Amino acid sequence: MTKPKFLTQYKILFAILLVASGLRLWNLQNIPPHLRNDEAALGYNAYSILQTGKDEHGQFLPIVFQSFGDFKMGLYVYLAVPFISILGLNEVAVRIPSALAGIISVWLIYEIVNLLFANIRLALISAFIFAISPVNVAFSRGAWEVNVSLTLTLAGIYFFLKAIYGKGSLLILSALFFGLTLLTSHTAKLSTPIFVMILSASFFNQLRKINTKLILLSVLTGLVFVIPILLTILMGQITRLTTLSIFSYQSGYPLFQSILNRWFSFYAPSSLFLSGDINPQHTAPNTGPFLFLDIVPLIVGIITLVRVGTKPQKLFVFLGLLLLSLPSALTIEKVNFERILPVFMPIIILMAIGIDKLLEGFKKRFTNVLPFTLIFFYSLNYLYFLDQYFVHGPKKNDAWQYGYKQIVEKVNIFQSQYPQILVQQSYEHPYIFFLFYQKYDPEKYQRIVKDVFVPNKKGKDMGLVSRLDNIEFSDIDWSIRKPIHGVLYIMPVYKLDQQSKYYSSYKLVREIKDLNGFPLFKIIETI
Amino acid sequence: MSKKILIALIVIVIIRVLMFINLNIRELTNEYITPAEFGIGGNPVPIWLTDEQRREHGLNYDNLEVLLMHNKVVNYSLSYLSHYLDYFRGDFLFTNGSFLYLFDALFAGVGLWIIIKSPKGWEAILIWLLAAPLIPALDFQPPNVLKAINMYLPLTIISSFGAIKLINLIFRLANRVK
Repeated sequence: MTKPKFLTQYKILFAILLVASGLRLWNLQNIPPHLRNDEAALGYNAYSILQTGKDEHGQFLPIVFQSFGDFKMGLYVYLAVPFISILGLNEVAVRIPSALAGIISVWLIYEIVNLLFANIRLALISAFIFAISPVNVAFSRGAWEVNVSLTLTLAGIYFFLKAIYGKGSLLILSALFFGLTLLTSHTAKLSTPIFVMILSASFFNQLRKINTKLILLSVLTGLVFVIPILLTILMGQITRLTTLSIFSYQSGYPLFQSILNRWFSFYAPSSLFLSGDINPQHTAPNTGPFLFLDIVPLIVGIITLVRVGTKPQKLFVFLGLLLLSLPSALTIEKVNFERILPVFMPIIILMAIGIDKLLEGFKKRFTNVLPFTLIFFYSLNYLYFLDQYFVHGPKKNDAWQYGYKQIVEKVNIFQSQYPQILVQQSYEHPYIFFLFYQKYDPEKYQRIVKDVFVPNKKGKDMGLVSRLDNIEFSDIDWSIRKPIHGVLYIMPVYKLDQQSKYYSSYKLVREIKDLNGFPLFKIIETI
Repeated sequence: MSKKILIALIVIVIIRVLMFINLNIRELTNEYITPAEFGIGGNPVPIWLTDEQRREHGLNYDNLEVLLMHNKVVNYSLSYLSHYLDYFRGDFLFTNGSFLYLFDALFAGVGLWIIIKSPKGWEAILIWLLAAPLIPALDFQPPNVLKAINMYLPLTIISSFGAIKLINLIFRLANRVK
């Protein structure tokens, strides 16, 4: 096998990192076209921490942020603080920690594969696939806690492997990174223990050679992070878990069968290569987490690894492939890539092995035609993805909670002219967009939050906010509450049409159009 | 496997596919015999998708690259591929339907693992398995046990093979314990 020279290998890696940065940073404020409410909440909480040292609910430097009542794990907020202090409170500042994490992941995957397989070309191929794979691009271009958690997990694996292959003291650093993942996302509470288990099982023999004191010290380091998590569970801040877990939900199937159903549906080729999961934010439209042609290297990679892989390599990759999809299988949605982002790492390694094997095969025969034909079709397939993600993705209205930024911009003009403004309430949490885009004074909000925040009465996770100054958030239903003259109503077009028999005519103040140019929200006054 | 069998299999598959892709089938037969939901031509979704995709390109909707990327050929192929691949879904084969038992998943997994390690003599079975859903996938309905019946034999063979190997392994381990 040819090994690239020291310098060229880093040049190639640098080029790959440039490609990764281009895909993750280009036009970050406009694509995705609108902030999700979770992104806005992360951003506003970071702004609040920056200004007052407290979160939106007035807690001083919390580990877990109450936010809408879903108790977000806090590390992402703290990572966003420096960027918000430099760039101000806007989309780029909120999204950039995740984008940078995505770029660092590319480098980490290079190092991990290099340590695991001792093959620089394979490592470069893995880094390249990780840099361009649709799912990683999509998750790096939004403020996803899970993406940062994935980077921390990869750092944990990297230092673990370093420790195994010589520098034993790095095991503590590995434990530190694994611990930090627990503070970053909810799903890491399940996927990190699975990772630690897989690593210890795969490298059991090497692990025994490491000093027992070091191992104990690393376990203690990990436990330091587990304690706050246990405390949050004891304090009842796990409503998110109880809402989404499969154990608190009747599906009609026996429990074991419904878990297996979910587990199998992740491995369906159509959900991996053609259509993705039900959430349009996770993948481009009509595209899976990987390109369709990736199915070929994946199959070749599986065959190659089964035949020639060493025991730790096989255990690490295949256990990862089979077990890391559990966090999604144990929740109510069938497949949700947000919960199983780490599972794409073993798949990418398998694809890289497949491509490596194919390239090697082409050296012996078909040198002239076949590689170029394959590269041609692969680029066509990639162009299709780019078109879907950058052109079609930003045209899907229902995917991005589009419209609230535009509403806030219009309301800012005439907020003081009206005694009361009524906004249609929903679980898209319109209040957070008003806080975010008006840069609402955090101190002022912390004073009123106790009066306006209404926790969910059914014991589920999401609470709602009822009022901000003269803006009231409630369900606009004119069959119960008649329209009042002089009040400004902001509501989706369909809601206005539904209630057409309760008003004679209205004065259209402003109209918000959706991404395809059709009316989406109307700002009206009744006459 | 001899080359003759391989060629024969490929020819059979090609002929069956060609027989099925007769787009004018409704002219030849009675409409009551071939309802609209049979055959790839009855599925309107790829056409709707093409329209939507071209519309989303705004004023460039009739540029050459847009027409090359979003057309009926591409979208019907993608729809066909997704239906074909759906026949290999684990939840269809092992948990949801009445196709195979759940423990067949374990046996088939073990069987496939060993077949990958030494595939000699297994080519016919694997081609059989891969070719079986080619025809039923032309329908645009979700996988169906009756239509997938051609997959039943190869899967059973692989699963039984895995079961034998697994039982052998257990006996060997038991002997070692003694």
